[in-house]
Amino acid sequence: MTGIAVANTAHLLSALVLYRLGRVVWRDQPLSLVAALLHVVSPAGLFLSAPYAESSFALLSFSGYLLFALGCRAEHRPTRRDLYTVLSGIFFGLATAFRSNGILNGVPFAWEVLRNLPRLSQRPTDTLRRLSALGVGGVCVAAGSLGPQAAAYLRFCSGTSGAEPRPWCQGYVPSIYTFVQSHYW
Amino acid sequence: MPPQHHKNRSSSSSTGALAHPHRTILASFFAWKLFLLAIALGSTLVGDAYDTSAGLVVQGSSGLGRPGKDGGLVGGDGGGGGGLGLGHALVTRLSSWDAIYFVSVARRGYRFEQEWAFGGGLPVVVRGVLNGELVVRGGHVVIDVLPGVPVTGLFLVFVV
Repeated sequence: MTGIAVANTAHLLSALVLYRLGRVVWRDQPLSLVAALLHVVSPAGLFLSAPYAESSFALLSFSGYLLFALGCRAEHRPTRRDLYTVLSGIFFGLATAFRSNGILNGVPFAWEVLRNLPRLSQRPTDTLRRLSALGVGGVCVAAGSLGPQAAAYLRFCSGTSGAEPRPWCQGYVPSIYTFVQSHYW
Repeated sequence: MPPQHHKNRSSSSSTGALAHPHRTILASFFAWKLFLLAIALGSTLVGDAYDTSAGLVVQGSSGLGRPGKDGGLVGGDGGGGGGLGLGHALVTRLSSWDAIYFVSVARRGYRFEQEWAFGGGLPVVVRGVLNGELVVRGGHVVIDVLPGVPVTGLFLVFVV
């Protein structure tokens, strides 16, 4: 029951956040409202009400994008811009802890890094700040994936429980996620 | 020439939906959820669930799909009357497939290897809501999270 309550709350909040995100990115109120309403009647249907991670993931992802967009918009206020960027990374990292495909939300960070690299020669301090903020944010996104996998590694591969280490421990990148997906599903 | 009374209303101020966007989203949300839940509940009266996987985590659902005399769901104990039976039926219908994993992990943590395919975020939040606190990684960090969740959401929508 709690899971259902969490899922429904997250779905409602994610629709509201999506509306706000649309206002920021498009500056078009009717379009943003349509987008939010479409998210409410999303074809995911009851999966957004059942105890699945989908709706919480949507809420955290949309929030991350909203913060990222606000960061991009605050070009002329560096502290606020960098704060938004790092916060955005934290939210994306949390989203990745809910569903592992949240790691793809790191793409905007990588893109922004590439976009800002040419500016290093013109405005070194400011650009360096921006790149650091993007770096911290990107690391947070990755942490959402690496953290749980590290926990799994410690549990299954250290041999503390006396059981044999699992076969995926010997892999080049010991990832429980890829193993479980191929082995069980 | 009589003066032309043009009602020159811009589209953003005339329609009610656009003037109160948050209210519109809220109202649509509740209406749609009511509709979906009605379908879910109605499906319990019409026939069996697609599978009985919900019986793995929901107590009293072993007899899933056997219609009772009153049309409600009859499980091991038959529910506790009409209202409770419907709520139980709804929770059962929504707790299939992946939800089994999330509920199990929320209850007792990760036990089986394949459960690690499911993100740990949701079980942590569910446990946090139930206990009023977040327990991270073995109980060494306890954060009082219950007031924070709706606050963060409202903050993001209205302040930021």
